[in-house]
Amino acid sequence: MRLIKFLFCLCLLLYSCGKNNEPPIETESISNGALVLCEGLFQQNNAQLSFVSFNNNQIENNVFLNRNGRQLGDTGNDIKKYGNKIYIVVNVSSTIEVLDANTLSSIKQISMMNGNTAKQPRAIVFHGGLAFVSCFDGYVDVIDTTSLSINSRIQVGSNPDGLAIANNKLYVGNSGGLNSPLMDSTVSVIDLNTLQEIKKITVGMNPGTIQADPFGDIYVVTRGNYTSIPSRMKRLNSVSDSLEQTFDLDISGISSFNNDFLVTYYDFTSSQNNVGLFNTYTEELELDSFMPLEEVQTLYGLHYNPSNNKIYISDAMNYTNTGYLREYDAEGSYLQSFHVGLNPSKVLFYE
Amino acid sequence: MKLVIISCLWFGIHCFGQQGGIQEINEVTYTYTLDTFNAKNVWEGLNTEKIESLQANDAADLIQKLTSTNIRSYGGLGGLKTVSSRGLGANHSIIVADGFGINNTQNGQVNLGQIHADNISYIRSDSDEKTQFLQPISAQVSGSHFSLETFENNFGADGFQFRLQGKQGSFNQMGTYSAAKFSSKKVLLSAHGSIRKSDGNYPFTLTNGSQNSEETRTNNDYLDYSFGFTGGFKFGNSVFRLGYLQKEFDQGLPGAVILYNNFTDERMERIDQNLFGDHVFKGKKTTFRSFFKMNKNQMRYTDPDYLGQDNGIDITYQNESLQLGVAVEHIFKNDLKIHFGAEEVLSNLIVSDIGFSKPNRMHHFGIVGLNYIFLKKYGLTLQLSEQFIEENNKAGVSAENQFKINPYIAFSAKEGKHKFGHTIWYRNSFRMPTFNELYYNNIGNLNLEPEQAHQFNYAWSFSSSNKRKFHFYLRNTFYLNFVDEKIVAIPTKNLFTWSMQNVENVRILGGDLKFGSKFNTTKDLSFSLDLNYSNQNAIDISDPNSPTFKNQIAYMPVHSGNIDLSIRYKDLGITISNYANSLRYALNENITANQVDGFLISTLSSHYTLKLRNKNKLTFRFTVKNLFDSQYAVIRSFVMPGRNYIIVMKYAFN
Repeated sequence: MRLIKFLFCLCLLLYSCGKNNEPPIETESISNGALVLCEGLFQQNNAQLSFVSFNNNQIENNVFLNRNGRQLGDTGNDIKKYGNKIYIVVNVSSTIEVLDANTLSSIKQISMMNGNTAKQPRAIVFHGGLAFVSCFDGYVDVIDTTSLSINSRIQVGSNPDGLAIANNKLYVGNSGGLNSPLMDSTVSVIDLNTLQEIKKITVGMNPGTIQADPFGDIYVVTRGNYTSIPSRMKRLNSVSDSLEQTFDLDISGISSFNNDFLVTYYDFTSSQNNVGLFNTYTEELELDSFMPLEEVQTLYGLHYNPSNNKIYISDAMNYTNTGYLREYDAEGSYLQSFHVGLNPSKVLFYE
Repeated sequence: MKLVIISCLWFGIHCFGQQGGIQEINEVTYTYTLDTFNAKNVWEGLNTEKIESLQANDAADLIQKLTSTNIRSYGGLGGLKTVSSRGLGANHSIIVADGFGINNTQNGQVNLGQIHADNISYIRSDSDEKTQFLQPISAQVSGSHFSLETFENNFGADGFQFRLQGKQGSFNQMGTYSAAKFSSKKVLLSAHGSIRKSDGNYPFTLTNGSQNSEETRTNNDYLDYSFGFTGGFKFGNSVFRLGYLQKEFDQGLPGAVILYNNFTDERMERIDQNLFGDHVFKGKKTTFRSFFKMNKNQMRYTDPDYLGQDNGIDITYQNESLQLGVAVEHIFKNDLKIHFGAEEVLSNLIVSDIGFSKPNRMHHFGIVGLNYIFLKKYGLTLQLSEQFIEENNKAGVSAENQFKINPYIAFSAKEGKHKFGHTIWYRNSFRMPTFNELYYNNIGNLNLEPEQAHQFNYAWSFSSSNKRKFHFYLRNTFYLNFVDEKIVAIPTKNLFTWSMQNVENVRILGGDLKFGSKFNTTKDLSFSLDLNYSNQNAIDISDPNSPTFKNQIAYMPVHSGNIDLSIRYKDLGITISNYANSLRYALNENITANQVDGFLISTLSSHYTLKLRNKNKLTFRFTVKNLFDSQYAVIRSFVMPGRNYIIVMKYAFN
């Protein structure tokens, strides 16, 4: 019998090996830093927030969990601040988490379900006290930022993705990404006075990121089919709501950089990703290689912080290892890296 | 996302015994074995008695009792369960039922959760030294294979035999199984059928940070039924068998438990039809087996809430295969034997999805080897196998053809009247990329290379005399394996664009300890204790600059094992079995955030057999699974059921 007892104890010992939880790390109040939304991975329920303090270069991971005692959910896709609140779009969990911008404590979790069907929210923008959320079920939801309730739904194209506002109109990239290989090719234009779709502009296969420039133009990335149809950047006129120009570069991302853009594109000559400086006034690529990317394994987001005049790159590594936030000065010289969560994508800067 | 969902679904989307078991094996001619040191060891398998005492739901519950196995279970009756042996990965393991390989060229895996345990009379792992030279060649050249035998497909006791079983359990689980078999010295005739169903909506505690909530697993219903017929005929030194088996499945796919969004209505229906037959000739010097199997597997996957199309997803997959093979063993002298064989497997896949490839594959296997016993105590086995794979995609570009030669060498020694033995062997094998991995829209990669495996093994074993009241068996194995060019799905370009890539190299350094014992205190009272312990250090050695370099690979426990204790008094038996896994990681990066807790699951089962007149028996069983109501998951976000009960009544004639 002694042998049996010993064997049971051995079994229990193996079992107990699984208990090894790290205590949460508390930091001082949220200021002067970067709040990084880490998407996590599908079906892992591990989307999270990391906070990088620019005061002491310390990093706190799992900020949402630490402040609220629960997980953010599955696949965080967007984070933005409006007023004194932060809105986090969680795609697979189908929620909008509304947080107090100072304390990061939860104010409300808005469930984005349509009956039993998850709407799968993707991106968020704000205008006139309203939040507009693109949802993969083919709608843009309109949320009152005071009552935090959904006022209405505006039907657009298939699997809407990126959003941008210009000229009192909302531009919605209808990706159709879930219909591969028969993806959508349009951008919906919504009148922000009537909250009605007024036009669909055909721009090219699989529209994703959309960015407005200071001159009222809309730039949209059409990602193609990832094989025979390449990714391209298109320029739309927000007065005539028409396609004006196609840029013959394999551009995959656009980020604001003062009044210009930093664009990420694939250079087939060097077989490498590059970051270029795009002049929104001349509407030309001014510098085809703005900054070195030796430290970056997978460029997953590009962000400019006007407060400290620095550029940050979200590095997703191989998508299954935890990522980094890479810091560069405004001239594009590498400074340092911060180790954050899995698949860092969007960043919100605090002064 | 569609691709991600489907990929998780399909890629996603892994001794023992008693004398009776061996006797059952020997009833079937094709399991004739060359090896005199290990194959006839009475502990090298789970026999009928052991299987019945464990009250397994399916083949996975049995295979997890074998050393060096790692079961990946996604939970629920009929839910996906795969086995990986010695850290090689599930696609390196072949399941052989009654001498016929269970094949699936679409995803390369067999769902063990859909192989009933009710009719299994014997199961063993052939991951160790290869000794079954009349098995399918495809199984012999694989990294590992598991063999099982069923009641209905093999000659049995003379005369008429009948089995009728009813089962009722938690979560509205029920099942029936019946089989009738007539065996004589010349003829085998059998027919069988079964039904299993379950609502599957089991409760679980969802832990979210510091919050716990009581939830119910939904969309987990399951229904399957199967029927089959087998005929056999012995003529001179020959045995012929011909059989048909059909299985149908209809099940909800509960998917991962997603926080704040726990609704899913994905479903899968499947029809699996098999026609199989073989001929075994056993002469004085030559044993010969020829075999064939035709398989048609139709699967329909639906998701009405999928956001890509107006009516969701509704895709059908049809995977057909034809296996033809011969295996020959010839004895030159008593101490020198050769074996050789060939097998052809033709398979195709037709998918209703837009733009999907139409792949066909011709897979040829050849094998030749010898076994030499010298000085009456040493054995040497040398073997070479070759494989040629021809790919033909009727709707696009084909993957490259492959040709490989793989060696296998083994050396055995015995000491002390067969009681103490050593075995050392090396095996080189590979597994082909599946149709999904090569051709699935966007995810598939035509440039994939086969995944290579190298296995170095040493084992010693000792068995005491079974004539004593207390007898035991001890086996200790050490192995060093390498998997090169491991095929994994990784995101490329962005998280929406996953692709199969040969990106990982894995080194597995492991060891097993097997202890089996039986203590016959009196004629009526006996105890048995079985212990398996496996230690598997399976680490990523792909890139020294990677953060996961030398990290334990995902879902591979370093420690795992079983402790089973049985007590039998006359016709009453009680067994407590325990299965434990140490912590694992959901991803290759060994950080706290990726930890999946270890678990210890206990099952208590009891049975009582009422022996009636004229070879009639009535057996009652009562089983409590997950006795201590542990909340656990084998795969992150796929919760397993808590404590549950099963009552079984079985009638057997002869």
